[in-house]
Amino acid sequence: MKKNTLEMVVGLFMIIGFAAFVYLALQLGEVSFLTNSKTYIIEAEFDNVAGVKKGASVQVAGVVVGEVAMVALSEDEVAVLSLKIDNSLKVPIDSIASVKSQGIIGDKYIQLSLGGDEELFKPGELLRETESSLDIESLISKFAFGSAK
Amino acid sequence: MKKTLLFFIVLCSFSIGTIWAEEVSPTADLKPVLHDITTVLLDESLKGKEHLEERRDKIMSLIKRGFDFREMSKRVLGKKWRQIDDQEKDRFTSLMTKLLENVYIGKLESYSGQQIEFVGETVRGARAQVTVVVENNDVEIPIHYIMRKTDSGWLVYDINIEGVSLVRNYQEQFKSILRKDDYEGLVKVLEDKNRTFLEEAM
Repeated sequence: MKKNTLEMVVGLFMIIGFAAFVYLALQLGEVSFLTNSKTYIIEAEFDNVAGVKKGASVQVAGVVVGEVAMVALSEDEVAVLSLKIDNSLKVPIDSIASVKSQGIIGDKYIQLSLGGDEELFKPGELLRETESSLDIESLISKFAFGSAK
Repeated sequence: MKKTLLFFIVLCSFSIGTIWAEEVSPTADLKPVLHDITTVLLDESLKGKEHLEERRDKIMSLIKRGFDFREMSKRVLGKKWRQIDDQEKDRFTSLMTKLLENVYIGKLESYSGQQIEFVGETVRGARAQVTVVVENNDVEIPIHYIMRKTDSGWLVYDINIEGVSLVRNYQEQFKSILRKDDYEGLVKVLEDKNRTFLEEAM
């Protein structure tokens, strides 16, 4: 009898340990079904998102409020980013999303300048007031070569 | 019977006519405004310091025809807009309009006939983007006019040059002034700035 109880206790510990391990793995791996309930998605349309990767941060005033869940091309062949944003952040419909770099040449992230409208974006809606990636090379060539004349 | 049928057809064609007339494209609303402005800018009889006031009055009245300065001011001010009364909203709009006039009209006056080409428009509901390319010294500068549909046609509420939005630029600057010095502080900054321009012009 005692041997059975012992074995049962050992088995129970193993199950608890294993479950804890699985939970840890899921939390660290940020598996979507655990984080989805705390965030919502806003789509944002850009002319150019060069350099923006999946997982790039979405920031308001420099504070990370979400991340880029998906980078895709829409039917009209413009770039569409799926921004996964914390539920606690309300985004007015006149807000502006800009592609920015950490520093001037660092990693790209999305800056959200919140607007003042009463109406807010609902999950899945499309944000169109955007500023696209700055193409430094094209700017340099435009103004360097332009001013050579 | 024939008369009522004829009457009906005429009535229907009238309503179809008005429906069709309402579907004016944003480009069609913007083109004449830009054309008129460039005409004034190139008008020899209005050039020079002597004609400064007359010229600028003309240019501003043309710009006001195609630009929605109230919408621009509302977006630039952000949340604070809803917290001020109508009289204050009018005051802020006129301050903002004067600021933009002061900052940009000098630059507009350096226009010397560069080609302006309308390259396309995208319309989504009540929002449209009209893209224009200005050619200057073989450099092509794309300018996006962001417009919205109003009762008086399509009006511009933001300009996006090389990916930078005018509204976002001022909104960001004003946000930090609002945070430190509140709305009154911002009004004072704008009044001071406009006064500086006035003094410089004299």
